[in-house]
Amino acid sequence: MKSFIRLTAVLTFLLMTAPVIQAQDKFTVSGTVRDAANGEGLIGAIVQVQGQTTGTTTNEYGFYSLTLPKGRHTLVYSYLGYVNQLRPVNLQAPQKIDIQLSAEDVQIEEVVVTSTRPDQNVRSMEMGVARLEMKTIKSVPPLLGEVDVIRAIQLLPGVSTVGEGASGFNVRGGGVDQNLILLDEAPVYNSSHLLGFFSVFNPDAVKDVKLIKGGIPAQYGGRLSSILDVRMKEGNSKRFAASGGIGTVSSRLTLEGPIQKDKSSFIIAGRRSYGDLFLKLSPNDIQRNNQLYFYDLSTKVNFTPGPKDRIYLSGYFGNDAFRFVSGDGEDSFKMRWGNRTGTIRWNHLFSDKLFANFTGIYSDYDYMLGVPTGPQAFEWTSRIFNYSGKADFSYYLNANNTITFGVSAIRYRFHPGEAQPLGSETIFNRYALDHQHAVEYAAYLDNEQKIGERLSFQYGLRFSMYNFLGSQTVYEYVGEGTDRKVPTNGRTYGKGETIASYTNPEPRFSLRYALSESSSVKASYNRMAQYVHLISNTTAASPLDVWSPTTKNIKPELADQVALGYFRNFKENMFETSVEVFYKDMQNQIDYIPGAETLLNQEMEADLIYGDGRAYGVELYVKKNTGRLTGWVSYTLSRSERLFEGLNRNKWYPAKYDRRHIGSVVGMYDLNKRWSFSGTFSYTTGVATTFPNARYEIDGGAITVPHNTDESRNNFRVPPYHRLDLSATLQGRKNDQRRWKGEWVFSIYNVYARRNPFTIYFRQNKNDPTRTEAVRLSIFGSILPSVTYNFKF
Amino acid sequence: MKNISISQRLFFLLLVLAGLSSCEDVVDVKLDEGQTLLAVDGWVTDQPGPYTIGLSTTAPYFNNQPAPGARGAEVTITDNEGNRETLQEAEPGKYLTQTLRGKTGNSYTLNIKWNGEEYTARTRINRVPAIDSLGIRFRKGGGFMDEGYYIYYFGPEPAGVGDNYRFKVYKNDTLLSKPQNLIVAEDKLVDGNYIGNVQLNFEPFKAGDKVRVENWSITDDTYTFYTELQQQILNGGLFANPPANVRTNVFNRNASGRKAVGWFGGAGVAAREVTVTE
Repeated sequence: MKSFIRLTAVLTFLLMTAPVIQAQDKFTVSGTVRDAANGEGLIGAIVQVQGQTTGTTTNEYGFYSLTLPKGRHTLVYSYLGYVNQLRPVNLQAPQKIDIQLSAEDVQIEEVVVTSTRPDQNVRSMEMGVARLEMKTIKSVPPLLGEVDVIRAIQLLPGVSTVGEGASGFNVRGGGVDQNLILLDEAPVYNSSHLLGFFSVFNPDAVKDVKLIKGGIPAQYGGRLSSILDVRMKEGNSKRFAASGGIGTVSSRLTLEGPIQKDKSSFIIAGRRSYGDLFLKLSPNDIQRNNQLYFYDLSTKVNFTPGPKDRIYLSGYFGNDAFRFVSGDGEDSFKMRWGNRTGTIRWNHLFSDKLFANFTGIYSDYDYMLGVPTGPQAFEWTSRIFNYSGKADFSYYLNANNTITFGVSAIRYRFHPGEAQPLGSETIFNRYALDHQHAVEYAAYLDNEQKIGERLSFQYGLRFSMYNFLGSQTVYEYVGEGTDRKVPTNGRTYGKGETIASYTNPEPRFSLRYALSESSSVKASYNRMAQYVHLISNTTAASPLDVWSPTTKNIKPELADQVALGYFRNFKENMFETSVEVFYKDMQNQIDYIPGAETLLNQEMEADLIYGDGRAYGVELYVKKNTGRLTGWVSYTLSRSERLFEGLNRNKWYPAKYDRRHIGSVVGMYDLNKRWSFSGTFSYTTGVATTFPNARYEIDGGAITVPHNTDESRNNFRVPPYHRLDLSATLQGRKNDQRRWKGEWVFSIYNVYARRNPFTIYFRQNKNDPTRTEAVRLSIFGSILPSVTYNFKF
Repeated sequence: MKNISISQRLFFLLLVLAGLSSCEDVVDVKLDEGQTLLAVDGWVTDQPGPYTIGLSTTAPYFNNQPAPGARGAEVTITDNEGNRETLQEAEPGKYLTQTLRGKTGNSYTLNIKWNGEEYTARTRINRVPAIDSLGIRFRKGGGFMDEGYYIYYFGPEPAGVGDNYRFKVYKNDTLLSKPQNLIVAEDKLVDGNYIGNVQLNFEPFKAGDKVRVENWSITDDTYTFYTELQQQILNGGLFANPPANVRTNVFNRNASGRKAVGWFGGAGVAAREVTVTE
């Protein structure tokens, strides 16, 4: 920790003194770009010198800095969906220019013609990056009326899921735990509500969503496959506002407003579902006292103590709760799980070229399940804590070089599981797994450099270091193939003593070459290291799955990814298109022996096996940005395979995230001032699964066991998944006298009622046990209509 | 006493509960046909014999006929005291002992010569605690439970981790043998405690039913075999385990020879009977 502070201090000093040395024939324009309506900082807004390619984009806090030669320039500020602003400047000294952009009126007829459209996809270094505006996310037809960030992400190229209602998402053939999901920079360990049907992000509190699946900048690390960077709104700094909605599943309310106009603001957003209502609708005879619901609360405040500083405090708190009580009240079962995150951030401008952000983060995820009464009364809990500190700097050296650097430290505490007996009648003992401790440090340096008009590079290095710490007794596990391994050579480590230590240099590199004004090619390479792993041997990750640190036996997961892309825009950027190919090589992947006990098992590592992974594919993307009809078409052809000793006769086999074809079509159409429509169609190759080719009997013939005599893994495909969703939105009549604005959203999920198989499994016929059959499980077997009313004032 | 992995099944329940219109239907699937392997199903217990070793072969998955017996095998069982017995084929694929008597604490080796291959399997008979009594209670139905009589287990669990159990429930001398009737438990969370009032049936009994409960003390790897088996034969739901082969403890002496499937188990057996009265 000491060396971490020292390093930060040295770097800060170096960069503060650097600008002094520079010759004064150039000056810096810096400032923020904000939304004129509510004062929210705009992320990724483009600041450009008119008629030139020189330019920059705003960072996550809306800040930009651009160093230009002395003299007259016209700066163009643009952001998708907002009216461009032109600002002439005569640079004779450093200047601070804060800009407020106004959203284009949503009505097509009145669109202000803007001179240029953002062509960020062609121009920027970024590849494998998708940014979804909240407006788009809200337009995608919702499931049961719930607008959902993660559901929208699954419509992007390279993104898939193991099935309907499964938690999380898979990026370019990676596991759900290989995505770093950040909510205001705090890692979210379980992004799902109600198993996996909805995500934890309240759409009313989210400002910006960015998914990075390739060419990952050195600033980010810790997961192999992607970064999902979710930024919460800062809160309206102009006026008090409220918004909310009443839906089929949940109701929402968001309040926001200035604390001190244009200086500080707050936002607080809450949601609660009424799943209990489901129970009453259920065809089964279920009791009224059963519960099933989720709620969450997102809140954020920010202050501007001075022109160079801004402080943000944000927090998230959410839970899912479930309680089941039997008919006579004797048997009951309850469970709860939830995330909590807190972030404190301090933005500081050391100079007009050096932007710094210091962050303190707390995050935890826990669950509880138990039987409250009776002879089997117990309560089982598991928890993961994460405390971290970060310092991130952006140094806008000159128009051609932007240097980012920083350091971070994460302290992990894992409570993998503890079962506690309850009451006097219980048959259970207390059983607790050892707590686990670890720290992860990282330092990075990255430069984005333009060389001439056409070529730019981004090159950087992230250096990560990880220590697995005592106190704990650890074992080595010996064994072969898929047999349960045997612990040997136990050794006890004292508190804070290093049990295992790993370091990984993670080089990152990307380049862009502009072929023309509207087309470019890009290439990238990145290495990623991952030190925490979700231990999950079920098809879909469950809320009970436990995160494990890298230990003496579990090695850090590593991935090397190369990608190549061609980006081209048409018709004044009305259409964005891209083709990307990628190849990802993964090491130290985790799989499980058959029958692995991953929960409440002190010797869980005995059931883990390690192997390699590879994923490769091509992603096509066509997006229409403007006009009455907007939307996109995406298609991914890919493979994701694994190689484990002892599995599949030691040959490569398709991972459960392997999807040959992933396609989606998203269309949004504004009919008139009141009606708008949207539709999505998605198609995915079925999940790879292991089918038996034989059966045998045990228990004197009573039980028939499916068996694969070839020892194949994932040798069959369940039928493909496809689904059409539609929605229509009716805006309330416009009345300028009233601030109240309402809208009705009507949606239909699974329009043609396809029974998409989640799995196919094999069982004995219930009435004739000698007969065996294949059974298709569909999560939704019918069409799901819903109505939501949204309002704001 | 039941394994907590029951929570996984409760998840499926939750899904159904949610009324999210999930549904299951039987579908046609075209499956390959695998090679034919020897399947073993046999036990040695501390109860008087004869013990049966059932030998059959694997069949195509949709065969829908009783498994064909493996005939003409040479089957022997030896124990760690040096006793050795060759089993007699009483009916096709059923091989019986005549003199062997299982003893708590002894280990047993099964050897099979069949079809030019030699297989071997080992097991052990572990201690078994007595069943003190069986309780009967009438419960009103509702929710997922039908109205009727339920059986409750009372008995000690001996100190020392490593005891595993399989409970077999017989209704009027017939074993409740459906996949969902398979109950196994380990003592990790209940070691040394008195096991009182634990319900053993989920489908109720009627007045007049004769109920027999057997507690089989199974070895660690037999317990693992059963948990894997449960994962595979009760494998529905969102949090199902990926399909995989269930382990076997029957190995070909020639590692590159044709494999076998199935289980050779050893157990101590404790039993109690009770007749349900109103």
